[in-house]
Amino acid sequence: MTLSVYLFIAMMFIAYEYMRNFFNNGVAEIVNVLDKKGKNVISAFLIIGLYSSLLCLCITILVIYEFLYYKISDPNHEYILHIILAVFLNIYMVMILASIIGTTLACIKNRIAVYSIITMMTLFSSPFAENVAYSIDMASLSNGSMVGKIVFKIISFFYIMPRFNMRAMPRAEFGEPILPYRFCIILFWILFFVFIGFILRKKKKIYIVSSVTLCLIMFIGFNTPASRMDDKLDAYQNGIPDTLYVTSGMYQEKIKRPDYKINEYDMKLSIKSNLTADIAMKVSNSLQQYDMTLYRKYIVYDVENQNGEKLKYKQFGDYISIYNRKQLDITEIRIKTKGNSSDCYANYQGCYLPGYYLYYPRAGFVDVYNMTYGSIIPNFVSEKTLFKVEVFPKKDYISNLPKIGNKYVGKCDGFTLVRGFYKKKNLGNGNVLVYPYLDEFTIHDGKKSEEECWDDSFQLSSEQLKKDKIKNSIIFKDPGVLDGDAYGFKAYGKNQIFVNVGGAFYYSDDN
Amino acid sequence: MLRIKGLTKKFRKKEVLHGINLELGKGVYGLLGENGAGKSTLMRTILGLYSEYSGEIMFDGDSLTNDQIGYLPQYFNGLEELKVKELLKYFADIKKISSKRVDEEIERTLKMVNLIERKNSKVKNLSGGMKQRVGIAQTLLGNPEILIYDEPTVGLDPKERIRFGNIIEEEKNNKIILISTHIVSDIECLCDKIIIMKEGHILGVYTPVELAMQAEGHVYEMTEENYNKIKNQSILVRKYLDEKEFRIRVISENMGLSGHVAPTVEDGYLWISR
Repeated sequence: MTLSVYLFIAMMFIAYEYMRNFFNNGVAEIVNVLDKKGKNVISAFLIIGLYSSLLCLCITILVIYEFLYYKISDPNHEYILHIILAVFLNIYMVMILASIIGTTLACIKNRIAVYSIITMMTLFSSPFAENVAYSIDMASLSNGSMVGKIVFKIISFFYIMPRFNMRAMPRAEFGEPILPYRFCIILFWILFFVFIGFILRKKKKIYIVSSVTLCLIMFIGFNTPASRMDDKLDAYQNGIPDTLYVTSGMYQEKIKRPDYKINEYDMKLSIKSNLTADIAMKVSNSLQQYDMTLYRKYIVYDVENQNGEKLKYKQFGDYISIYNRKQLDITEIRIKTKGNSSDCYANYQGCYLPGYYLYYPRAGFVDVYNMTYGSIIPNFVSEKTLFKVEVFPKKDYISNLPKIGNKYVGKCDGFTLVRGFYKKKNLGNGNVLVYPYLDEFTIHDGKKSEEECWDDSFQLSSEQLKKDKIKNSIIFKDPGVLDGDAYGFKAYGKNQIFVNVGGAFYYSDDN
Repeated sequence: MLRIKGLTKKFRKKEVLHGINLELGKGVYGLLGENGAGKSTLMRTILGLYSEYSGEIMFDGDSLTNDQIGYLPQYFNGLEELKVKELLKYFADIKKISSKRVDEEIERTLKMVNLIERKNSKVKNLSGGMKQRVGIAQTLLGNPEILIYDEPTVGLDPKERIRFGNIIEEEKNNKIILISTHIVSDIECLCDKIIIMKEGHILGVYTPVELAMQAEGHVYEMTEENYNKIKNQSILVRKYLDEKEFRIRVISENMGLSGHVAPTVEDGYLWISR
């Protein structure tokens, strides 16, 4: 995707130089007279669109060919669709944006001003800006300072091209982020420059108002909270949001053993831009207060009992207290939440919701973060509990529970759900490995088969499994949530294990 | 016949053309008026660049169409990276000239503007006057009935002005040519009729002789001393050094002053638009 940077610069420059000639040398005036319906201009844009499409098609074929060459057998249709969308977003839309920027800037007569804007747009949207922002953040004495936050916020509005396109591979299990907010920010810039163009060319008010309105809608769309991958990929945000939360003292550690048990979870998970959960929990006894733990970014918006009677609640950080002030007889507590997590994503493109993660409540107050490393503590359910989980939209998920009808049903110590570019591999002894088939460990050498690569890379893990006498477990390749040395990048549950094989260097070539 | 009837054009609430009526037959028409008189608005409305106006613009009883017009804007440099013939082919495509006729049309128009030998030159390598001739050539592609030129002689050297005049002279018998300009001497040489505009109105349509005659009896040349006496009732046309003293050419409301001289087109224009 480095290509998108070069295409961005080239298209801006070409569009500007051509349109500058077109507007300033009297050609546009003549064309306007001869072609009042603008057919010529439309056909010119169609031709640009056609050439761009052909270029994108070639790139798509090359990318697919490359993956086939590297023996990634049977890349599924989702992955091929992903490549098409990635090229559409990161090449096609970027080229269209660059053309519109160039066209708009052609209305400005001062060439120095125009080149300054082109340079600024390029720098702000390239990885260079990230490096500068990171340096500023570092120079302002502490990582995650206010200055750093502002600088990173500013460059986030220039998220036109893939963030790490110059430096590293995207996440193997997820691919390039091709989510609504990315379309929104590119459309925002397109509409912004269209709006500026309309003003400079003194177009009718209706065009100006329409473009600025759409521009604002896209801006809001971009800033609407969602499960965003750049939260994790961003240099500043790389694992930082929770670390900052912990190190800045906002996290108040609480431990309280529950005086009740959750005997069953009946969940409906809706995965869109955010994760919306409707969770009914059968509780062992009726109490005046129920204390629970839930990751703080999943906001509770409704709590009721088995009869639909509302219960008061208070959510403070990662903890919730539910009050039964009317002393109702409670056998079930149903809570509804909506939100997203910096670590465990769940969005249109994929999800990684490990059973140890607090995306559904746990009884009592449990310790959420490791204060030394600022990393999360795996919190499996204390004993095997019945889970009935229905997931929307219906896609090809991988879970630690079998799917019966529309639901994943079974007893476990935490419901795990993943979706992305994963494959399963039988390791023997009833152990199944779930791993991202685009992983650099899997494809590092085009001459070897995927199986051979896997065996080379995971020999240690396989040996470890034998040594630990692990049987009938599902082993998930963890995408970096298990960070820091505290847990050796592993989380052991009952019949489910999470292994962060690459550790910290998993994300970037630099590390 | 190009017939403009009751043409009114507003920008927001401001009316800039007030019910213009004009009938233009074959020949060369000069559109003369000070800045803000409405010349450009009138031309741009005829060219169809404004969709919202009231009134009628008809050519031979029908609405005016794109292929009936050749237009040269005030500043024309073309697409500089293209060759002359490529640029003309580009305009020929927009004019929907059939591909069989394109080469022939390009040859014809380049011959008319005397640029046939430069057809393979890049536009950026041409002089200003040559670029202007390329601009004229593109107006002639497809042999349109109406040619509209906006300030066509600005920046041209005397030779190129003469050349431009010659091209116009060749075309004027079978076309309606409308030329907007500030330069009265150009109008005098090139135009059969002169349309005087002021504040969105047509003050009159005259031949150059008729226009000059409008100021008959009102043009004087006098000493600076005499001019100072009638300063408030006169328009200063020119001040020039005649042997030892300054002479002043004025247009005055007063008749019968001494120093009466024959009026020129410029005098006529100043008199009418005073």
